[in-house]
Amino acid sequence: MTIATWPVWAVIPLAVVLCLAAGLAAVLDAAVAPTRGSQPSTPVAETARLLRQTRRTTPAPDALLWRIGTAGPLVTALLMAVVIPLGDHVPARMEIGLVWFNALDVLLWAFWWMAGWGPNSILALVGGYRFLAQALAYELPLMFALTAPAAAASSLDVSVIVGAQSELWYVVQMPVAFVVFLGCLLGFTLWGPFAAPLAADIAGGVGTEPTGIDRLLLLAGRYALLVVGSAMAVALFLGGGAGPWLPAWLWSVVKTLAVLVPLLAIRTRVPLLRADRYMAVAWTVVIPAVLLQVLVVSIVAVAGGNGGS
Amino acid sequence: MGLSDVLARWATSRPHTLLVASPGTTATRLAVERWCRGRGAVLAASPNDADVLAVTEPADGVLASAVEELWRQMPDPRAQVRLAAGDDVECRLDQAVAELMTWRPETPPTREDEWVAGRADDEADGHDMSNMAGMDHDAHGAHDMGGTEMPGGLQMADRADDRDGLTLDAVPVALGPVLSCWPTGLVVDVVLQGDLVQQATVRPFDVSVVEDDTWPHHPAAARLDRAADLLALLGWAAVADEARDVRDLLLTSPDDESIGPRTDRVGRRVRRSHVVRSALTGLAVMAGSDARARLISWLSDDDFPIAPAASLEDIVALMVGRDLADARLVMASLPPDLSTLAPRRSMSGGHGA
Repeated sequence: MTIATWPVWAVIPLAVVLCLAAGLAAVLDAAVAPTRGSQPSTPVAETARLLRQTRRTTPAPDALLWRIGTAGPLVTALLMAVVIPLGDHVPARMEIGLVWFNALDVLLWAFWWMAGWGPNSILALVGGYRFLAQALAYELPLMFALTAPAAAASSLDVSVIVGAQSELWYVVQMPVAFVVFLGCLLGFTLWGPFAAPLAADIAGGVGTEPTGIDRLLLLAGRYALLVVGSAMAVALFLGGGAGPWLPAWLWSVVKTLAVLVPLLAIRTRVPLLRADRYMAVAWTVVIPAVLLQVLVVSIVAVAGGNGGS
Repeated sequence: MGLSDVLARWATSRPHTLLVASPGTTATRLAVERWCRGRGAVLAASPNDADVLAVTEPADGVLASAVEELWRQMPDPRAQVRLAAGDDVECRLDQAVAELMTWRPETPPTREDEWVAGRADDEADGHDMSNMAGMDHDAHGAHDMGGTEMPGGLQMADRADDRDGLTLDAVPVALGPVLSCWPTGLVVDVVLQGDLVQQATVRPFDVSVVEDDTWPHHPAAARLDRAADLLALLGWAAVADEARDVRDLLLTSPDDESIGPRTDRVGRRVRRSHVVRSALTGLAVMAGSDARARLISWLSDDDFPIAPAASLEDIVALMVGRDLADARLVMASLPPDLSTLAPRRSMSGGHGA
């Protein structure tokens, strides 16, 4: 399929759509991962509650960095969404769209750290430390997992990668990269087993101090990142909007939901992983596995190219 | 105005409740949890996330000042409820939520920055900066940094050697008296470098403990309550909630047939979990049992579970050299019997609602 770009002004309604999608993700979260007292209308109640809440601050915070940190995840999600095709249209067609996505998830290091360091509060700081430790574990596997579809499609343009999956979806060809990508997605959204920076034993960690609109931005940003990450997984590994009968954009949405709902369901069902325990596994098992995957993909790509020409 | 009412109605449909349960007030605490279940409310982890502050009487000693501190930190709209033993918990909490619903923001806001106002009074006797629920930044009152005035008048953390030969900031922090899955009223002063506990000392316990016979009459429910706290600290929300459900079932209808199978299922999931194994094995070893062995015994229907007699000083000594998460798990896996520390006080009025 050929992927066309939308006009520039389309980013505004798309930003609204993404925020609504984040809200939908929150509703699905309450439905599939219920904790005591949660129901599908919970996100509406929580949003109303946070809009009504007054903002509090701590003594001597680094206010600028703190506000940047709490708003950062949502902004990152909006920026990441710009290169992800929805069906057969994409907001911006970048030749290096994959590198753009990677650069933004590296920016998240700064944002989550600033959210922990800004408020001048020991529990938030410990949350920030925990995030840095887990980021050290997931970042390299994520970068190598992103390289695999690029090697197979011989392009860094996400739209070209979607187009190159017309015969076979990449999830069949590179399952290890797919699984590692999803795991790292959980890592940078602080979700499920990687939610230690927001854990209850440090009274919410990075989420202890923000109140009111800051808290809303932080929590909404997490859901938006999950949605955008799932959409990226669909574009890179599940063929984008390809599929019979339904229009391409609807296929994109259906596939994104198919990736998103299991990720949401993981949240309460596994205990927290602590970075000091799994760091060794991340560096000695996951990175070699992903590198082997990239090697296999590259050999197949080169052999296929030689055979075709 | 119609929109404010709609917003208020939605906002108060899920009140976040910060519960300060004085030691021994188990019946009232369970009643508050039951109200939360029925109302769709949640228990908050920090005061910034809370709308309702529910305090069970008598919150005296260090808890009294802690409750004031928490109240000051809570953002508007907020409501406070003091629950005595014979109170109708549901009614009082519903009244608090109704108070929340009628709150409207004032312009300009009249709630001043209490920290700034309080600081002017405290200047003379060395600041007691509390910017966290239950984790206090004790400033070094006597330490002079040679004229470097940090923002807000707070002192910089002192530096000290750590175990790797580096010189890192050493921050004195107080764990407690109000913290989730922590014995309320207990304060452990730790010195953190990064998130490693370098020193830990326990403060003298000055909160009066209420005489309550919920746990002595239901030992199985008591074990499940302890297990649920430990599982919540491990971040395993689904299993912790299941343990709490079974605990409530044991207290309301102890002859229910599903209790045994459900407890077995929880125990099996915990036994098989690799994450729990790596987190708890070798942690808090006391009298030959580690935290994992104790957790598994709590989740079995063993009538005499492993409960080593450990003094507070021993428990706190196990925290040194561990990171903060491990230190919290140590305290949760060796829950101290606070009634032996302070003179008991019996509440008149019979059992709570």
